[in-house]
Amino acid sequence: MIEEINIKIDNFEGPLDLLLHLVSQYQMDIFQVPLVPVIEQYLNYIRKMQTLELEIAGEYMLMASQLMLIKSRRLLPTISDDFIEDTEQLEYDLLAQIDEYRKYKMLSQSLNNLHTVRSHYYSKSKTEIITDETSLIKDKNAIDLFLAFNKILELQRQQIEDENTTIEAE
Amino acid sequence: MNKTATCELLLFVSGESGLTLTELSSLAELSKQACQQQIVYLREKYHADEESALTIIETAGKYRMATKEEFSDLLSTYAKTPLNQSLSKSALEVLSIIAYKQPLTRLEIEQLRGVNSSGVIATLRAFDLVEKVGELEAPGRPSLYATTEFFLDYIGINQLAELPEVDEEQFIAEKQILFNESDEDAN
Repeated sequence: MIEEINIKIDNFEGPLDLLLHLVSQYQMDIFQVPLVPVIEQYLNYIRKMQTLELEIAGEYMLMASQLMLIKSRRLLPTISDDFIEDTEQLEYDLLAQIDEYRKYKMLSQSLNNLHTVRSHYYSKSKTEIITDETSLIKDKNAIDLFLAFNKILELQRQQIEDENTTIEAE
Repeated sequence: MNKTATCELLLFVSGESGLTLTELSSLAELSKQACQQQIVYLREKYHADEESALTIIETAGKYRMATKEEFSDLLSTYAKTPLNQSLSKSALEVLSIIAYKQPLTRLEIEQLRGVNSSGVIATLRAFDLVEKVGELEAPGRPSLYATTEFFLDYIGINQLAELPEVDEEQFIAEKQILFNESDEDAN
């Protein structure tokens, strides 16, 4: 049942992405997916990460505890109908969350495609035209100057980060 | 002065910041319709002229003079402007959530993604793709985020209504592709 999982954790954008990946292996409507095996795979995966002493983001652990709650409720003998309903609601909420996440993951792909098309067009920056008659409006203050310089710093930092591989403990 | 030359001149000078039709018509002292015609004419002229590297594009409601698509390979090695740079997977995810659900708070974004997103939001703000547009009337008064005009330019559309929709059929088809891809990543 459980396939060999040899994907690195940083290939995923958080626990929902990982769950989406596991759910997708069933190749069926997201709301029909048997949750308990998925939960088991998830927990297994987290355990493997731990034995390898890899850094796991806190969000993965939080999700693990939510999943364990669902699983334990599933396995326990039922006391009342309310309890079953409650458990089903928990499961449904989780599946709805994965489904919603899936939607945005797909949309982000289409935005990226749009951007790729746009990025093929290059323009030059605006020509600054200065004449003798130009007078200053004086509508900028110290805050504007600060923010402008700050933005340049942030962009630079981002560029350096993009060009170099950083190892970060999350 | 020639009308076409005037429009071409103004578009050249404005460069990547571009001009709206209204700005163009008041600067060139022509009617909006005449400007529109000139732009169409210019675009066709450039298109027909194989010895010209230029074209005119319309994004975020502005006309911009740009280089033709086919030169992108050549230019990508030379130039790297923020506009032509692509974003990381997480930044793209956050950007699309903001684009479709704006205005919304950081917490709402994090609930949707299941991960902390403050760093990514800071990046998107530095790139001027999203901005703070107000505060939510709730405890803590969290900031509300929305996309900027530059975002429209970044993905090459004129208004938010042009954002791609979730097409259910395509959704299922792309799901397969998406998952097959991630399976490949796995191996």
